[in-house]
Amino acid sequence: MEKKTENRIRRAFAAKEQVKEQSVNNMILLARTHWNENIRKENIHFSRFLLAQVRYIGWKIWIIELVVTIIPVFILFKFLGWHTITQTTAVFLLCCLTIAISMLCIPFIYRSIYYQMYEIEAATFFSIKKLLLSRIMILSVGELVGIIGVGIVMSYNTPVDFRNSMVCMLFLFGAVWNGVLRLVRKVEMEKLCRYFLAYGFGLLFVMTMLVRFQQHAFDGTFYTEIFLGSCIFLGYGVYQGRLLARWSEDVCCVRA
Amino acid sequence: MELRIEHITKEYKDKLAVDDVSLTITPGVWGLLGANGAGKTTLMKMIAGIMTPTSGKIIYDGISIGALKGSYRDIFGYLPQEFGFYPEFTVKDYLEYVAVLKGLTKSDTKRKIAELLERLSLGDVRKKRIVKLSGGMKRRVGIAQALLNDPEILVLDEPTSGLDPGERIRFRNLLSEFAHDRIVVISTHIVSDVEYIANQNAIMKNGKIIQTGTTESLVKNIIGKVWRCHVSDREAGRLEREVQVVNLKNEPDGTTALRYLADEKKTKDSSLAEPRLEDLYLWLFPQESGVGR
Repeated sequence: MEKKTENRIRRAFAAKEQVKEQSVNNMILLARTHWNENIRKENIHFSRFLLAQVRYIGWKIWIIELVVTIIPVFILFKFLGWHTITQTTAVFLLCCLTIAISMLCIPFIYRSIYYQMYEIEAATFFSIKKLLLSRIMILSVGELVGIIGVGIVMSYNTPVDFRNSMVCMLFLFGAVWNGVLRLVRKVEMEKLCRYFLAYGFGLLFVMTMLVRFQQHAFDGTFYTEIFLGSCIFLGYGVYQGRLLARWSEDVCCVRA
Repeated sequence: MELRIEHITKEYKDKLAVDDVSLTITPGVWGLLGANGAGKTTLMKMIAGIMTPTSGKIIYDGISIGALKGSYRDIFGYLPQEFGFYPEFTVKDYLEYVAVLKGLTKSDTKRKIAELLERLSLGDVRKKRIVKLSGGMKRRVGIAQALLNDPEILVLDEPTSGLDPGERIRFRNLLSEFAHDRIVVISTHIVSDVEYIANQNAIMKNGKIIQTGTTESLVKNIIGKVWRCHVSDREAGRLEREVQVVNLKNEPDGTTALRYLADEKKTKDSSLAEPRLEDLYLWLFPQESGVGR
């Protein structure tokens, strides 16, 4: 042990006659610093880990997302024709597509449990929660790109207002992924998929009710409110992601 | 280096899987023996940090593993009882995937995988999909992934299930070599796996650790209780019903050689035998041989 660290630990012990909780925390912090400085091996950063996940699973996720995004648009174009699309139906369809694509995360999260990999994954340096976070990031990036693409196509072929469509879509995108992040943080691994399904269907139900009884929600009347809501969701999403990344360092991440 | 388990309890809704277990694990090979359902796997999962104890804590070198967080997992290797893999992975893909999860750098990954493939005789199947490998080979891949980060603590849950006798011996030798200055915990109900390589043993029964010690010190408990004799077939049948028979072998001369456990000899010509860990195990878990004592 380095002399400097040793002296700091000695001071931490000698400072108080009675060991207080704060002193104990300081000691743990010092011990962890010592560990990190002297014992711990060199590890790759989360960004490298994320890139590696793109290699293993990312491209599969993106191909599936692309297929799921293109098929509804193709059906719309081929069978219904663009002329049937109004502002309300366009935003509603984009929002439904956002929810549907988000639900693709279920099989990719369930994979670890289905193939009995989660114990091995949970006992590693990055742990299962960081693995889930990386998959969520890959999925959400693919989804965002896909939906914006659909939005652009729609705005070219229909009189739909691109700005309003995107804000509504971003609001729902934020709602969906914040919910997913919250579930990952709070729900046990084994129950995640069921919760996701319930959450997805719940959102679809709310959407259907809105389009039936509150069409103003989609036609741009509440643009500013929805825009502000999207910003709040974005901020909360970043906060949850950071929280999850930090929390995933905890040892006990899979409960029985 | 020391891993201290302090009053660990794990309670499920209707079952107490681990009941107030305390144990100090020092470097060397530790054998965790117990019948199925004794609580070994639950204890292993708690040591691995993938299951939260209901109460108690696990301390590594004076720091709770909860406080060490990722740093603990960084020096930890784990092979679960049910070894899983994604079906599309080849052996090399799988090891690379786990190496990334373990945070290994590219150069370390390459070096370590090459080394482990050779040591575990997996070089020829490195490009084969794991799903197409035999049970023993799959197990070896599992052992390789646990060793990837050169762990200071290695926990193996039933590591030898599916391995043939030759592979078992190679595995034991590998572990003995590896365990120098490290903590290796092997949970098993196959006594011979740990009899020759474990420096220390802990025996679990009904969620509690009932005995700990070296093989020599543990078997001292049954000195004078292990007997051997040669009897007729009929007599062997009677003894099987009355005592705990460890071993039974038909001899060419028509008699049966018996090794049994009893407080006193059951036939005139029975003589005392040197006790082994297997004898102790059957003494403690009579249901394992299907005969009551």
